[in-house]
Amino acid sequence: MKKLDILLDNKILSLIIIVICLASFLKPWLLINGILIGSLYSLGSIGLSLIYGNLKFANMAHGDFMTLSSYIALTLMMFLFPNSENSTSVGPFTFKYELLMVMPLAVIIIGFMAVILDKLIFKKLRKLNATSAAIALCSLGLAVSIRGLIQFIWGTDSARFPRESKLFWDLPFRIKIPPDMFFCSVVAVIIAIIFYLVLFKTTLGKAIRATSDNPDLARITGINTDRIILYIWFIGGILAATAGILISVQQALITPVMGWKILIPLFAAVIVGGIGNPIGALIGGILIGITGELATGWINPSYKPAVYFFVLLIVLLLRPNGILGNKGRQF
Amino acid sequence: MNMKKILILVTSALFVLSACSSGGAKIGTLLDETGDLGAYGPPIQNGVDLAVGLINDAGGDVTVIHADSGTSPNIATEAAGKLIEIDKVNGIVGSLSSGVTMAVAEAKTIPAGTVIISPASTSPAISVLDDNDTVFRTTVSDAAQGVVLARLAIEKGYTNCSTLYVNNPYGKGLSDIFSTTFESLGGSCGAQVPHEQEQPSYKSEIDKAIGNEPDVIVAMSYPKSAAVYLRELIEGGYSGDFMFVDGTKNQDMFDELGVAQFEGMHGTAPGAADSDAKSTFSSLYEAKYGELPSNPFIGEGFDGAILLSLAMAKAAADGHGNTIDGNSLRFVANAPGEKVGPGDMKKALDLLSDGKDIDYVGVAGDQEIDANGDVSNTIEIWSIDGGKITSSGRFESP
Repeated sequence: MKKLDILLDNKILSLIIIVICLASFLKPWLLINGILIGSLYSLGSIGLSLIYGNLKFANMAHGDFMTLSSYIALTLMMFLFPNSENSTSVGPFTFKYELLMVMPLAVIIIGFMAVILDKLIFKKLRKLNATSAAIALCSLGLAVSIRGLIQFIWGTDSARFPRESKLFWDLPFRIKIPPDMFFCSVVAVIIAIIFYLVLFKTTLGKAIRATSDNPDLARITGINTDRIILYIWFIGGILAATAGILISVQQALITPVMGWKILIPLFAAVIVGGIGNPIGALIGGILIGITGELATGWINPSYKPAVYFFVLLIVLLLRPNGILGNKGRQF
Repeated sequence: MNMKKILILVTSALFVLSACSSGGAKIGTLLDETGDLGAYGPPIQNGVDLAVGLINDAGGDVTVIHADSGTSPNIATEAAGKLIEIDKVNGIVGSLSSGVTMAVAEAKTIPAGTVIISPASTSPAISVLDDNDTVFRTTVSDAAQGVVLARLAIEKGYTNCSTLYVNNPYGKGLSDIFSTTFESLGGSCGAQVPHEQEQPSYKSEIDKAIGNEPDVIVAMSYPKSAAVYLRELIEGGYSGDFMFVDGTKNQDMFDELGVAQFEGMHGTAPGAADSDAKSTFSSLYEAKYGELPSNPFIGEGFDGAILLSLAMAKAAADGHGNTIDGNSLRFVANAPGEKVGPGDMKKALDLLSDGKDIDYVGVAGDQEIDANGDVSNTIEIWSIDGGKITSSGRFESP
């Protein structure tokens, strides 16, 4: 965590941190809102960061993978457990036990879908030596197609998972915590730590990083780079699907544009945190959440994106690779 | 070779013929066949066709030319140019979205001096457009809804309110007018909170809205955003009431949130009381198209086409050809004069040719056009009664 010390040494950043602390002291409930909403961004950005960092392009279809996973989970739930509307919910949360059963299924479906899409589209682009901008644009086309498919199959109306309404936890200082959001935050932290360990402490992680740094060199040392790329897509798909389902549980709403709408804060979180680092994505998401929500205490809430992009600007000016970004990597 | 010449001659003859086919009046429509509002345009075109059919059956001579406005200022402006410069229409019914109507008016119809009547654009910004008295509408401005809503809030005994509104001209306009009126009537409006559409959570916006402990929160948004913040308000322990507007008048949304929690709460939306004009129109529409006019703004489109046709008849009676302006429109639309409804077109045309004054009473309201080109049609008050959105039967003007 030496990098964090370096950040604290900087005067401008210290000033921003002082402002954030002061604002949090004045309106602590906004700080908690920021951490909770920020952790939703973190949840989505961990997978995005993994693909961005290791396959070196901005996957615009990530948000629509998230949306698709929610619709698939919903369809599985309706099909396998038609009576789940009347069953009991899990502990203090609003979602039902059946969701925990269909979730792994939906998540794995999206994982395999990501792998198949790589074989059909992205592998061919890599063979043609397409630039990362061209690949990103291609993923944008994929995003629009997936959204069109979702609207074609499930319609443009909103839907939701079966749920049982629960009151928020009421704490002192006007702090209210929705149980589902708390669940999402905990999952975000666990996932970030697991993937940090996988990426930096295991041989698979070493192989992934080697493949992303220099594919040719990795191949010479005996790494099956094609297989590694498939692993990356599979994990990226799984992370997108988990985030998509949890976010739609949290907002009690599934709409065809939900993933697309959340994509901008996700990219901001990835870039602020440092592309390719799961812990960075976690910190980036929460930082963006906190600054956006704290700002609503004093300015028009619809300027939230402007506030966190301002933070993004400052962070990039001071650390061009993001808070936990690796200096040696170029994007 | 000869064949080719004949072909050219025939096509050019057809072209010339089509260009000067009718000496009668022409109405253009600029309605959305494609784009976000693509589903709304075609039934309104039917309403316009029905209106012109009635006028022609009564001895009029009016042609309709339909054009697509594509829910896009660019497409609509081009289409308006074609209607004005090539088809030489005498008036236009259109467009739906306020932004599109304003773009078309500023780029094409105001410079050309062509009268345009929108059946669906509700933004208060259209009232104050610098239009040389050429832009009109047959639907009521959102300004009216804000006023009626504020009066309703006072009547229900609320004293302290907050609004949560979608951050666009629709939401901001409604919230501004509502809160100004509410405060002038003695209430206090603690917070007006704008929000972005379709976010995963509105916790901080809600904290702002409930900060001064309001006894009512007015939801001025679209259903997909309101569904999220209404649920967060209820599960967050908010125990006050809600009020709603046309954007949040959505049965599906209430059903998903649990409609029992909203029982007895009120809202407003543009709407006209049941009248002879409305029932005559419904039966005529059903006879022609085999279905009831259930989509919104069909009656407004019908009224627009009738007003344009009658104004053209008035202009013709005065010897101005088919050239109409604000005065001829107000002459046929406003009191004084003999009242005529959708079923009285023969009578209306006869009275006009005799030089008498008429007062058209429309499907969507009385259609009395004021100095801004707005009509003061009514706002419907509705409530949630027995789990269903129910009209209270009350229709008020501001």
